[in-house]
Amino acid sequence: LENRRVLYDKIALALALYPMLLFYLTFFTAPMAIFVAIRYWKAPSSILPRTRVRFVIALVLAVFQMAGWIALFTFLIRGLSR
Amino acid sequence: MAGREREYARLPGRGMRRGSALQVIATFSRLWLGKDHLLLVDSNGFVETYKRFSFRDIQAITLTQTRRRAILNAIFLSCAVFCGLFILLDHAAITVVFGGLLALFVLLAMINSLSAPTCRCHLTTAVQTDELPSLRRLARANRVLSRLRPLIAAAQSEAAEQGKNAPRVSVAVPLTEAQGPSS
Repeated sequence: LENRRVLYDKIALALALYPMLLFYLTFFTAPMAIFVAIRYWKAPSSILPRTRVRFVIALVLAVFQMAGWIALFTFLIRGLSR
Repeated sequence: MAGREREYARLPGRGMRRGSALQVIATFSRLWLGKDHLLLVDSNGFVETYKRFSFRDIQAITLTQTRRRAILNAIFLSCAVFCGLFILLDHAAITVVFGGLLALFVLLAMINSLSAPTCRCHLTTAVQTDELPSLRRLARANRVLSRLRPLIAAAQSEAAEQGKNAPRVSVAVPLTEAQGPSS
């Protein structure tokens, strides 16, 4: 009988959510959140009833954060090249 | 997933394990009801640890009333009085901030007073005694125990029946030289 489980969905969500307080950290943590969410999508979660909604929220947040960084860099590069 | 959902039913209550308040990440406990056992889940948010207590193995569940409610009330009311002293300074900004805090502490004291008396709950089996931190209010503990009592009684009477009907096995223990008759 298993007596310990790691909750990867909460780790992914924490990686996507908490660094938003200091937004520049999301540059590093957003790819980490995406990696954890994809790598452990099928990993056994809690033995109690649980959905994958935290993984989905983490993925959505991290993708938006990365999109924001890409937009910012694109804007800066275009601004410098003019 | 549907099978998993039927496996455990959540019992009311959630409590912090004692001593974990000083840790960086506190450990919270919750009880779940299984078909033939009670599941104690300790979680620090990222890792869950499980302890299963079979209904057949539970020897006792003890409730001890504590003074935690009175102590909490004393803390909340002391904080409220402390905030009240700042209001006496009669400064607009300070009055707003500390007035809000005073109201919050009075509200917490009221909620705490209206809640049931506090208690500590321990579950005993043949090999261990474990605290159940989710049952720290007497009313909630009694509610959970009234749900558990018939399940434990049924499981243990069934076990006793099986023991009565089981064939008796006698084990012959050979005498050692030291125990044997002296000749």
